[in-house]
Amino acid sequence: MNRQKLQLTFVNSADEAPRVAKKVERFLNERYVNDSLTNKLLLCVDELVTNIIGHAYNDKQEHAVSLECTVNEEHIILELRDDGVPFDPTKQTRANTKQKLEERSIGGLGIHLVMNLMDHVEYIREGDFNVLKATKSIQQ
Amino acid sequence: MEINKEKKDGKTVINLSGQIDSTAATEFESTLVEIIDSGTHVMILNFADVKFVSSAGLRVLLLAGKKVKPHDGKVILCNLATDVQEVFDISGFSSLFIICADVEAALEKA
Repeated sequence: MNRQKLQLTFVNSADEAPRVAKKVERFLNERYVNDSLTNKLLLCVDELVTNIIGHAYNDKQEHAVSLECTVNEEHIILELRDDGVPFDPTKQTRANTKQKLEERSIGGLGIHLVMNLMDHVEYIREGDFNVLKATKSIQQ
Repeated sequence: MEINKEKKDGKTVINLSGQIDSTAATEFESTLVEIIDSGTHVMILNFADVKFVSSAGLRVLLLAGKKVKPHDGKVILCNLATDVQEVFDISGFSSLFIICADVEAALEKA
């Protein structure tokens, strides 16, 4: 396996989120990615993984989801691939962040955070797969 | 994440540490709900050792804010690291809660 690339597969169960997070954290630490970037990436991993686990499937079957994290000199790239219902997060209605406490709901906030914290997010539907690629520049 | 509760000047201060993500959110929610349901409607959440808060954690804060509101309660946040503050700004949560620099400043608002 390429040392600059982490590839892992998990199933669509909420128990998987902490295991995925730990592996990504260790991978980033071993590559000396700074704490601030690591925290942003772990936040985005949490959002993207829980979104897939919670919303990608409505057949109650077990599915394999893959996550790839690549670190090169300039960027950190997260790529998630699932065979769930077609879903393009970049085209979703974003959370209304101007509402008052009583009116606020949490829907859409995770994607809103990912779109803001990462520098570039792109989605493609590849056959039966949703492929989401989110890139963060290492130079801040 | 770790959560521990203490009293300072008679006020409830909840010290949080670690990552408030989807995994931590369950415990975070049950702890805050228990505190609120036992009659504490003013609380200071100390984020000094918090690395990040994902939307699952924000959802718990929103719930706590909504639960204390009818009791004229307050959820006061303090010691937010720059990255945590950024997430609050992006999500619009900075205007939903009282945010103080440190516990001392938060105690004055409580």
